[in-house]
Amino acid sequence: MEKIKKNFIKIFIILYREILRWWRNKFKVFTTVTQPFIWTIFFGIGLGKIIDVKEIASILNYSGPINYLLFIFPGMIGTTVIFVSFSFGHSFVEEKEKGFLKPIILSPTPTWIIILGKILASGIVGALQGLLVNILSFIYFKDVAVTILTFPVLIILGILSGAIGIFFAIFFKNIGSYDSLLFFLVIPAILLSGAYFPIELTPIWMIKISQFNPFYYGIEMVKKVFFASLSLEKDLSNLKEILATKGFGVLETIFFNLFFIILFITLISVIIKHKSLE
Amino acid sequence: MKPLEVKNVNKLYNDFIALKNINFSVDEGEIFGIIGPNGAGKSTLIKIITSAIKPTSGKVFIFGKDNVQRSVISKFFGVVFQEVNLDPKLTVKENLFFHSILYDFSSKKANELIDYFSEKFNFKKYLDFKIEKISGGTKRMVELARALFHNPKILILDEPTVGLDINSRQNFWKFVLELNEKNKITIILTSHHIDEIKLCSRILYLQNGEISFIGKSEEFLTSYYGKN
Repeated sequence: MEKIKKNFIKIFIILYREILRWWRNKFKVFTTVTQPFIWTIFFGIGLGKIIDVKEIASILNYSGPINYLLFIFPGMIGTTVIFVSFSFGHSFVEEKEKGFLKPIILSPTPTWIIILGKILASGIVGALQGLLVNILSFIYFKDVAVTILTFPVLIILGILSGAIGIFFAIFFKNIGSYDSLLFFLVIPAILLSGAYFPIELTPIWMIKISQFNPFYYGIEMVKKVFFASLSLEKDLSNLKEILATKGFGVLETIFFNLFFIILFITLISVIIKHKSLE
Repeated sequence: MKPLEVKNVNKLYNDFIALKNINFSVDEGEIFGIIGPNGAGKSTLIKIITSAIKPTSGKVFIFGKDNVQRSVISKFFGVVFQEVNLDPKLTVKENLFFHSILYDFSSKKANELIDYFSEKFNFKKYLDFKIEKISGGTKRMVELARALFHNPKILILDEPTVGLDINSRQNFWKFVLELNEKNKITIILTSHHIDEIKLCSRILYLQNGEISFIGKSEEFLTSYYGKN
């Protein structure tokens, strides 16, 4: 029991350290929040003129009034979370490169605790930055349910993105190479996640590829919760109906996200058993 | 039981032999020097001793315990690394506090240790300073304090005074030698400074990943430097 308590304290202290390091880098906080805004403005205004909104509304199973900006809002929140949480992999490589990780991995603290603390921190920080963007949705939609109900799934998406980021970070020794992953892997994965256009409207081979893309399930989860929350009446009179029509879809995407989180954490555990983090 | 025994250690990076058939042991309270030219394998050997990396073959024992059990053996040693690796985004106090929690101390005990060591090593007034705001000499003292928090029996110093001015070096060594004398702490040192090599009771000289000399430091200094 004492050992479990100590391990919890250690996970918390790693998590707290990561949050502190993130918060002290104000410029990074600023850029990661503003980047999706810029994307949204350009995509929203640019693509909004040419994309058929009616088709999107039928795909989303959403009966309220819709425009392209509304469609990409949850995608933008999700993208913020993915960028922020994935960047914990960058921070991990930086710690390896500059040697800050060395005293931590040489401590008696098991490596899995260090990794778990970092992944949880990436989830929380990613979700908090997603929440900052989400607060805008509150200003825009005047709907508190959207802001509150999407937050838990943002944590799940953050943990997933952080786990993927740290999984790749294990193999890299310098930041430059790791960052090239962003262009090679993350941006294509975000484009194939359905954040900015519905995957269902793309050619079949793109749909097939997206089925192996963890971020697709992450963005789907955020979109499903976002639009289900937006459909709720203020007095919750249609709660049963929403749960019946959209509940299964939400649970299904949460399940896929949890599957990918478990998969990546298992892969990380197996790799760090055989590979030095140096 | 010997503080450190290295048995038949080899390390290969693909086809490159970083360390070849390394065998030695270190006695309690000894100041043991691992020296050699750049790229000789000193840092690789230190990494293997501290279990940061695994040898390709061979074993390392810390007080008789195989060093693959990192959670067991890491409490026996404290390390001051070649490069400063305190987190610059955190304060001196935060760096030390987080470190002590990872070594199983309660937050109360951690704060007591921070008070004690910051007083002893003269950096109390910098506790709330971010690492990037303090001098190289103070950073070294903070790292030395961090290495000693858990009262280790072995202190590993990997070129600990690189980049320090004469005063900071003297201060650093004053504390280290005091520890060795009073607490009988075993010291394993890598260095390029001849005056630091002179402090060692024995020397292991590495060349191209192989031991080319092991013995008393006076013998080493005579045979390697005496001729020049």
